[in-house]
Amino acid sequence: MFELNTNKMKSVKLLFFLILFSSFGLKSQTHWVVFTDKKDTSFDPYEYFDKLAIERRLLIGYDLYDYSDFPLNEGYISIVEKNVDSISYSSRWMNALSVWADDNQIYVVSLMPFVKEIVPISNLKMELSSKKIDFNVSSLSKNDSLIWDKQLKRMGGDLYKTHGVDGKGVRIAVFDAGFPYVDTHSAFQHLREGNRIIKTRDFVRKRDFVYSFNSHGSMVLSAIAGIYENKEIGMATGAEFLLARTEKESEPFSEEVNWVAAMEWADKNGAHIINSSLGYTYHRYFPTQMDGKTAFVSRMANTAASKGLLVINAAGNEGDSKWKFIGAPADADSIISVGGIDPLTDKKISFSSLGPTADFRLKPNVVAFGHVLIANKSGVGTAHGTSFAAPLVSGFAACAKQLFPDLNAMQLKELIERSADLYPYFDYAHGYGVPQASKIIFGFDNSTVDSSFSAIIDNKRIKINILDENNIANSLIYDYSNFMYYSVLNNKDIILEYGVLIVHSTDFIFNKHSLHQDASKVRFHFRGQTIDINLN
Amino acid sequence: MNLFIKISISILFLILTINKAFTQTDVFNVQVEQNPKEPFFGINNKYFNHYYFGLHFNSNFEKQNAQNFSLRSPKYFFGWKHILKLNNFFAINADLELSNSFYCIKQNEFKVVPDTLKWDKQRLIQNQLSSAIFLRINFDKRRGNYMGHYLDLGFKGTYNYTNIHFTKIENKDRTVSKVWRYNPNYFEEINYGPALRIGIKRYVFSANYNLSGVLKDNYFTSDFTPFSLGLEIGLHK
Repeated sequence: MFELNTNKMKSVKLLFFLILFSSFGLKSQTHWVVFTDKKDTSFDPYEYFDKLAIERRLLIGYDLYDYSDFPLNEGYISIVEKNVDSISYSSRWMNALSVWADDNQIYVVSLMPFVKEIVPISNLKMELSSKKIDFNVSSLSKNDSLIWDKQLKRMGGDLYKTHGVDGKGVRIAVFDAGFPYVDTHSAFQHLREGNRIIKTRDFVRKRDFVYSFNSHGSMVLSAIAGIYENKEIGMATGAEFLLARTEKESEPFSEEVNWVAAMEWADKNGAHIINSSLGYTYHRYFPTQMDGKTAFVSRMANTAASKGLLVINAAGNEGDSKWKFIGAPADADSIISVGGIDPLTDKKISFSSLGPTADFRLKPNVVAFGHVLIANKSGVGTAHGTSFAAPLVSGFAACAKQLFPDLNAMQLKELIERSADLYPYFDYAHGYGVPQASKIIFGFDNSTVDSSFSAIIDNKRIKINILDENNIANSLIYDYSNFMYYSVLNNKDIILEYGVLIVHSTDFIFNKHSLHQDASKVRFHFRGQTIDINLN
Repeated sequence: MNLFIKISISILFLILTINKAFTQTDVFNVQVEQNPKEPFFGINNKYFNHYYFGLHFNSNFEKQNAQNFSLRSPKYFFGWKHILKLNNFFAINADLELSNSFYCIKQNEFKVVPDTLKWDKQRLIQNQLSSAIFLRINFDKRRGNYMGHYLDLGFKGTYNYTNIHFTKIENKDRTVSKVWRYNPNYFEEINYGPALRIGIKRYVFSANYNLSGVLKDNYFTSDFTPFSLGLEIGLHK
């Protein structure tokens, strides 16, 4: 029984061959080959960078001859090139080459004295942060028209318009999966006629043409700057654009490389703002790794922020999935992560991903509508997703940048956060709330906020007294002007519990903090006023 | 006071009472997990279980005049897999599986197993209970809670709890004789051998080699190639 005759041996050989074949077939992958230095390289920023990129660097006091912007050593590149299958991209920021190579080749390259480290690149896909897109909408429903009316007004877009603020002079880079019909659709006519699509680049196909493939990018662009039948879809109708195709859908691919390449391209070409509606979640990471330091793309987003670019990224659509939390790069510290609210209820839309980050930093930073009117192939329609909330905020940010051109990216981020309607209140679903143009235009005069309520602690119970009684009596009807936001915090300012109440009475007792032993503070927000109650 | 007024006052009283009783309505509430940990159970967590099913074909390599039609000799199986993650590269996984295996034997003048007779149809059918253990090598070492690409190398043991030798022949008087011989003594009751699985997410190419053979060596000098290959689908995300 145990004797292997000739035929059995043949079969065993076949099995062995299959094992060998499969191993080799799966081994091949892309890697970053990170170099130790940029020895013997020269760099002229005035030749390499766009004028706006120079201005941005000068604004933040960033060294024009920063080491990270120098090109890679050509000698190193040519040596590595001879030892790998192919080179797909060279990153100045990382001082690294992305290469296709098998394990043996990578081992040889890793032994080279100028190679600092080898980092495998993810071939797993990013998720587009769109949920449901209503295509082929020939005529708008009453609900769609209502959304269109509200999506800019909710942020004070009409105020920007009356003050002639439309993002003029601000350059926005949009990273997405394709931009079909941007070259033909009437919603983008003003951009085409004004030659305000400055540059395009397809990082997947390595060419300049981007007006094909997935229409997600076109919809996102329309939510930043579209105008359809003389009515604005987005706020930044006067801005300039760089369009980068960095992703393709439904296949494993190296988007990570494309994303880095697009970041450097946007930086070089003078972008002020980057809008990205993509994120890595369960394919690549665990929620506990969403700390802004682990995910490669999050670190790169922070690098972009350090160079003065404001990165605005969708929080993600995992709020009602098993993942639940924000993905990467939305977890990055220095970027604005945008969650979604429901236009009808004004609270978190069910799918919008929740914060905080794994290290308990506040995310999302702000929110905007997660159900948005966008330009689609057949005209306009509505789409769900934080993908479309992020461009609304990008448009808002461009207008703020136009008003305050001297602000650097971090200052602009802070300004947008401070302008949000819940600020200084925050929670991990709504962030600081919806940014408001009125605060950008008229400033932050707190004296104009009337006292809407008071809260006192009495025998461990918090008594709330509503001073602004307007509409409270009728509040059995769902009315979001009666929303009271609350959060129970510990002594490190980490939220233990948060939520939204509808207030039905002018006096009531709040008792939720009693369930948390380590609660040290309860924070309330009602009609523009925020009150902290210390429990100790 | 007439009845209508009484009812109206009662309703008004009720509304006012309810309004006062419910001074606040929670429309949104989130409890924040303060010590988030990776759960033990999950696709790429410490432990994971899932069901799977699949279809193999018993191979037909020429083997001393023991031949079967490969595509007509399927093996259907349904199983349960338990995975224990060792680290980002390696995992151990164990299977428990029920299967039906068929050998559709070619009828020609060269055949010697399980007999030399020529039938209209001849099948060997086995109902099996198997257990296997694999070492999994994960190729997407930097992945999250996601199955990714992997290679399983392992060893499989099978107990054939029912062995059937089926023959069918049309007699000269045009009657048909069908004979099922249950558990004849020339079948191996226990099979064992190496197994290989190559997976991309839930889709798996797998191959088994049965070192013990299908038929007992002391009854026959030849045997069917106990090699099967096919596809499996894991019932997980």
